[in-house]
Amino acid sequence: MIRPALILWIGLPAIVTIALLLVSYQVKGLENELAALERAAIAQQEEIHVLNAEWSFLNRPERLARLAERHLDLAPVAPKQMISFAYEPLGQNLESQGYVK
Amino acid sequence: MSDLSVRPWRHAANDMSLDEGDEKLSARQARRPLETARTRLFVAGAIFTLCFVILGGRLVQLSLLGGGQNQERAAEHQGGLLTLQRADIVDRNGALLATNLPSHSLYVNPSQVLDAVEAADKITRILPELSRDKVLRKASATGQFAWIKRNLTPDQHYAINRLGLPGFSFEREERRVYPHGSLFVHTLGFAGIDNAGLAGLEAARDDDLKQIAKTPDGKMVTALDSRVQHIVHAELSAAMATFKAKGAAGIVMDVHSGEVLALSSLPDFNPYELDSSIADQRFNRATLGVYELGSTFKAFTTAMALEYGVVDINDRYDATKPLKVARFTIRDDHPQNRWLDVPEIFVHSSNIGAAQMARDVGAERQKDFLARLGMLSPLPFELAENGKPLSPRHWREINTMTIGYGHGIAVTPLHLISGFATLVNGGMRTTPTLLRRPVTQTGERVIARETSDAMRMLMRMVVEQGTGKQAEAEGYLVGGKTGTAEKATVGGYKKDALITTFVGAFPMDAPRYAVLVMLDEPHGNDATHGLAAAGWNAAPVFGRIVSQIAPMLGVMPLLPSGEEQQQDQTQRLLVRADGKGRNFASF
Repeated sequence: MIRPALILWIGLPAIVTIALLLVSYQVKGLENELAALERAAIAQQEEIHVLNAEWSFLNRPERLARLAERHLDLAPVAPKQMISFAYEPLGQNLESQGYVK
Repeated sequence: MSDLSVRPWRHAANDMSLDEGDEKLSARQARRPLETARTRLFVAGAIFTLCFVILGGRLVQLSLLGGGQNQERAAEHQGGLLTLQRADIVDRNGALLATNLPSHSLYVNPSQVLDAVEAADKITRILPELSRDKVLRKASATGQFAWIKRNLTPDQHYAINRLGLPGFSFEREERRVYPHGSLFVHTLGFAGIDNAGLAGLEAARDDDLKQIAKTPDGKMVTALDSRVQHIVHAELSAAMATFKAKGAAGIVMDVHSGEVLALSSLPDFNPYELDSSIADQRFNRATLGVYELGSTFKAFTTAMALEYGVVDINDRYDATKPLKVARFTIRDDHPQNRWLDVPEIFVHSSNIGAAQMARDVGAERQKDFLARLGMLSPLPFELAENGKPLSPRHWREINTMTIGYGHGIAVTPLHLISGFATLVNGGMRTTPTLLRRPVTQTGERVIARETSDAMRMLMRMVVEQGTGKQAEAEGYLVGGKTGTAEKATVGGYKKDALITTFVGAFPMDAPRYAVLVMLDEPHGNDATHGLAAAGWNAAPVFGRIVSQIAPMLGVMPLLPSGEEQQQDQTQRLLVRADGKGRNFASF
């Protein structure tokens, strides 16, 4: 009568203790992993941040204008190249200008 | 255990019964402690059981059912976010205008340095701009800390780190970076090495920028548009070179919301080379400089006279000869030598006519009107550099008359364009802002819609047939007013030092944007026949700016298919005196 109870009461704490130990090691491992991931995430964010600044630097309108002039056969939009559907009833003038047959 | 504990009581009971000889009584007395003990045991057991049940329950709750504040904390945990000391500043389209980049600064702890001479040699080889003696002195001083160089470039950081010098370490810092360089220097200003705003928006909104930086992904959204800013900057630079001007200023503003899309003041400077910049480059001509802006003020005089009902659009003033007031003589720059009606006074920019109009309105009403337009006090603009207008302390009749054509009062170009925005937007007070602001906010009414309509037509006429013909931008109904003023010096005006201005708006049938161009001391050249008036230098710059920014800002050009229609469209916007108005008394 005494013996099974004794085994139970000694065995149970032992199992619980071992389980707790394992879990705590596991948690510590996960925490390390989390910290590493967070450090990596911040490093990535920082990198994105720097790249954003570089993107903005490379997209200076002054630079784009210079590059477009050198490499592209395009000119800034002239007023007569712009038209709105609000000003141009569909079909009416397009027809007369030969866009629509 | 109960046997053991009860036994002594039994003995005691026996003893008592022996002593007293009353068995019944002693048996009952003997049973009482036994019951007490049992009760206590039961209560203690119950308490223990309860405790274990609570603990067990809590264990089940935490491990199996979940919950508890840790769970919430774990759920809230988003991972580390990059936080900076100052928030980014972006333009209205999200383009980055100012940001903080991580950098490393080199410092020395002299107590750990082994060989100061060798270290100084090696470091100055990588950083040649440092003096070897200075580094040596810092490295061999007594103390714990001295900066060698702040904000190293990544290459320098790598090279010095590779030297592996003991005692020399790096501190991670942040450096304010302006990807557009000097383009926005007069609006954004700049921040110092310790990330404190020192000028412009950075100084005026220093606390806000630090607060916003604490929120994830927070940034300050300005009303600026980098494309528009670039065009204004480029056109002003070109004009400064063409007309050999000392300086220039340009502003583009939304007439309804007061948002400033572009603000440029030339010459400017590189925010990274602050030390080599001179005071003139750091001076913001657009918001800090106050100037007598000349004839552009005739727009306010005309609006005021129409608003108070002093004149009707058909009324005439005598401009046959220069006007003598006290010891002054008021002359016209483009003398017509005849009676002029109100549109003619405006279109030909007649000082004589404007002065008389202002006189008829009166000093009090003029002062009140200009105050309501915001011309007499500094603007609540989000910059550290806001100029305070200069106006006469004693507002006499002669002041009233000269202010009528823009002399004797000095305001910043920003004041002028805000006033013009109010004149053309239907009459609501426009307060300029550098930050993105919804259009719904409207100021108080300054002039009636009818007066605003009349002003729009008059401004269109200036470009159609007056002093501002060169401001024309094909496809857009632009309108505005020229202003050519001599610079005031001690005791008079400098004949050859001019401030020329063109301020206007487009499209004039439903204005959306106001544009101001100001040149500081422009000179005539062959193309302008040696003339340096605003119509020859500021007006064409205005036209070029409008024709480039209008397509970007989604303003549709008016390009009717037939010639007839074109005539209609422009005629619709012109007002002409019908010749039936009053003739105002001559002088």
